[in-house]
Amino acid sequence: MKGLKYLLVLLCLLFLSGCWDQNPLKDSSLAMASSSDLRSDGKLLYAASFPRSTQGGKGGSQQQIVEIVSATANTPREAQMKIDSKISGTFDSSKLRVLLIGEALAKQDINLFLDVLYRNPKTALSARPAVVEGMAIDLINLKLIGGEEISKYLINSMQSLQDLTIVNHENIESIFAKMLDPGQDFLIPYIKLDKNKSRASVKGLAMFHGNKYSGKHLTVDQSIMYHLMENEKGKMARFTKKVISSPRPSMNNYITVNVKKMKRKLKVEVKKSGEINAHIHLNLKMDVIEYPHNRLASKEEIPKLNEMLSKELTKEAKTVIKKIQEANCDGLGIGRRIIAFYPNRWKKLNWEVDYPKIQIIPSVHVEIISHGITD
Amino acid sequence: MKSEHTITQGQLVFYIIQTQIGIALLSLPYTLFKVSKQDAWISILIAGIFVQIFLVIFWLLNSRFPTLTIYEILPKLIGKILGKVMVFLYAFQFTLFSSAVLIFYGHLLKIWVLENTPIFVVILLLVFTGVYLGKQNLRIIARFSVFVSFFLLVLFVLVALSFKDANFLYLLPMAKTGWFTILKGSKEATLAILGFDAYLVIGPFVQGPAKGKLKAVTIANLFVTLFYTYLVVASLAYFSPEEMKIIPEPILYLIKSFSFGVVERTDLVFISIWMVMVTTSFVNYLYIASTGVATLFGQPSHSKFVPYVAGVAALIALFIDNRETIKFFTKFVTNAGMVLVLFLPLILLLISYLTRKKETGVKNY
Repeated sequence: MKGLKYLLVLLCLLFLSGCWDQNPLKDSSLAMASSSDLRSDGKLLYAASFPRSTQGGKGGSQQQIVEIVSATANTPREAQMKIDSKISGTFDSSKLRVLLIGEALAKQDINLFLDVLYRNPKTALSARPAVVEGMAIDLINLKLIGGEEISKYLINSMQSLQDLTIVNHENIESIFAKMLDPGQDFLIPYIKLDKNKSRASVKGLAMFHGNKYSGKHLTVDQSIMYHLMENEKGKMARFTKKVISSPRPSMNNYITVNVKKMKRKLKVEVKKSGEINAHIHLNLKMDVIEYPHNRLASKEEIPKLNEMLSKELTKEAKTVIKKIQEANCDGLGIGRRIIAFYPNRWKKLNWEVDYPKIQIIPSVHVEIISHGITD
Repeated sequence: MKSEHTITQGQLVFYIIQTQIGIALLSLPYTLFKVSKQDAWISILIAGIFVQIFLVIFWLLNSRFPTLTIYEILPKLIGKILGKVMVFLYAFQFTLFSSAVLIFYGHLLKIWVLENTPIFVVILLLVFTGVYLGKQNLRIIARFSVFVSFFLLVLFVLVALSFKDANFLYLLPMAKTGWFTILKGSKEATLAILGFDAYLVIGPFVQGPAKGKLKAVTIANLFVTLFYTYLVVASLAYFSPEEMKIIPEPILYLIKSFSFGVVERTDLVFISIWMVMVTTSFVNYLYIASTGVATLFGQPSHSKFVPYVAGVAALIALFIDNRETIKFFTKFVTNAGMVLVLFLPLILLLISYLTRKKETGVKNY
């Protein structure tokens, strides 16, 4: 009797392991990166990269190859279905790491083609979006040295740029929140292919307004400044500035500093007249990492540098503010603060029109605290 | 009363917690947000205060009839025939709660994990587990609730990870939606907080003095209310308001967006823990409902009736299969629950005071 009981339990095990939803790796093709472009006829050109390992000839060593498959369709889902028929195994986007968006498509409502990712429970929401200058498919088709897979290359490069405060850690989940919020916008990396199409490089941050790419982007230096104003800093944040004006172009005229510590104050105030002012104050403690001029030992030099750098960086900050306001991209979330602290004023605002008109006043204060192991 | 039917006050705490925390856990911030927007967390706190008021009413009722369950009190207070009808309604109501658990559980798994598995398989698996455990005596069921409560810690930690990307400005302006709206929001929490009504049935089986029982249910309520508030605040701060509107299961979505290198879909880890919470809710309701049926038939033990009650619950659950009917069913269950579970005990208590009826001859230990 007891034996029968155990037998029944064992039988149960056989039946309980449901096989409806098993999803074996061997049957699926994992897309690691995808690119989406808008064709001139209004259709979507979608491509995905599938890394595969094949058994090499006699030696039996594994070989990495990357397969890029593209399809033209009306929606991303349709494109994925078309790709499905072209590849072995089913299309699986659950390991997607990079989402490349062509410039033309980014200028449309990107929420429309992201919908499929948000709706499907299997999507990896940690995938990182990026805007590509021109066509994104050119980037995904890039042949890299050593046959490296494109998503790996891009993720690695973004990771190192994140340490340098050039790129932020936005993923498709975090941009979703900002995209739908009227008081916030987001910026994502802007990637450009080199002229000879052998390398790609991040050229800064693409500024979005709501769900559309504004068509403008911040440069690398401006991106660093922008992140500091957003109160985000990677491991390093470096600036090279001209501090000595001499008629001869020379390395001697420049200083490179790294932000060691920072404090940011962002204050939004609504005046009685209804005027909106935002003050951003940055207090940066810097480390000199390159200064061929070598006069740091003298007493007057450091205060002088502090002042010059403060002036230079405030100028830089003003340019950034001007650019994001021109792009109508409220990346600093000033609108959100008005909703939070001045809800009545917000109701009367038309943020679309009013944001570029508000006063955002940045000020940067630099203090050099160290200068490496030489004076 | 047989000794294995009694539980300690500590077990009571966990029994209540586990009955309350279950299906509505994942969608609570969404349902509240639909009404009281960024003030959803105030709504849940207020709901907690209401629960406390009702718990005191239950407790007062229980102190007047220390060894009787609600099913036994009913015929004493409102007459035999009406009493029996009400007992039936109560038992049926609790059966409906258990079907609600099955429905939510089945559909959530269908959408999030087991897309291709037939829903009846998913539901029946829970029903079998439920029957197996529900047939045991109260002490064993309560012990299971205690054991399982340690998993709440995991949920706590997983949700805590979201705070690094949280934006607390989403919670402002505070209390701007108006107190009436906030109160209305509290009503939306009904499905999530139902479960403390278990005290009506298991109250008499708790050992110790009456005061200790009140303390136990208060602790349980405090814990659940704070835990819910924590979840609501976490999701409000993580998702922007416009995003909240379109995400029906915010807690899962929030956890889904974390990935730890190897574990890409953290939500699956979460769901497997949540399934255990759901099982306890289901089992606890099953026990309460079948105790009612047993009283109705004058039987001392509930065990015999567990399979039937579970069968009815499963049948109802299998018939309700699209989003619209689920919505309707939820509305029906919560409204009926409000009347039966919340207001009727108050009336009973009043009748008991007015007619001076109470249980005599038992030591109120």
